[in-house]
Amino acid sequence: MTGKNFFYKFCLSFLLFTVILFQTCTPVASYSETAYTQAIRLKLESLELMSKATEGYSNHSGKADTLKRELRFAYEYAKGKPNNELTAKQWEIMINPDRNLIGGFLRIWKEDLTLTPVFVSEAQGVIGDAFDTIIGLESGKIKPSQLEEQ
Amino acid sequence: MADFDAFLEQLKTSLKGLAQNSFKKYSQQILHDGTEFAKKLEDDLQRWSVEYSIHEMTKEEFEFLVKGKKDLLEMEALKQLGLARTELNKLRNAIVDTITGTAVKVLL
Repeated sequence: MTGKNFFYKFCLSFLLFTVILFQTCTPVASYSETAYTQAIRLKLESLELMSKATEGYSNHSGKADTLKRELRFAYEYAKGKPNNELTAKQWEIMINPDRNLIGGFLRIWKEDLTLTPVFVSEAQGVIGDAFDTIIGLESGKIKPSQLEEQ
Repeated sequence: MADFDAFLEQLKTSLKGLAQNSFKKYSQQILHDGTEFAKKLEDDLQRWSVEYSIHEMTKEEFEFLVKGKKDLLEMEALKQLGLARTELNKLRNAIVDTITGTAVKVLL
């Protein structure tokens, strides 16, 4: 094989590879400091309120309503960002009252009035881990400073 | 052709290093996360079964936790998909940078 033929074949293969890579790359939203700190703050506020769930819901309904509103805000913020559908989907699962994370927890607390201490503690573990998946995805996104470097 | 040969050699070396560094770190992270998740799932299910059997939690609460773990698995899958997409985007950007940088260094 001559050097010239090899060069053309290499270029063609590489061009094909690059085109495929560009086609398969789905754009992902860049990192947002606001979204990151918001998720951490909501994790802490949720776990703190959950620790009160061995008491009656009515004593804490004001705080529960505020938390629900802030969680809804985080979902809407994620949904409104372009190319951010995976994070938005995570928030949707997190706040849905018919599922079994913070949205579902607040629903059953309201319905059942009090929950057992063991359950509350175990649910804090699961819901804390669920918040960590949102935080982990956000922190793994490309930082604006990395985009500028490129 | 001497310049092009040098360019190709330099490019091959750079891209090889780039691919190895990008995917080695990422594949190790996925393996670690997956193993940790499976281990924690097993531990949690065993502990919850015991707590339910000795009436430390109700049947509804036990069911809520198991279904919550299923939701958590979905959240984890979304995170991994997002991180994979990010890695692919980083690789794409790095390839463009490598080609441009090598061409400038060797050909110009």
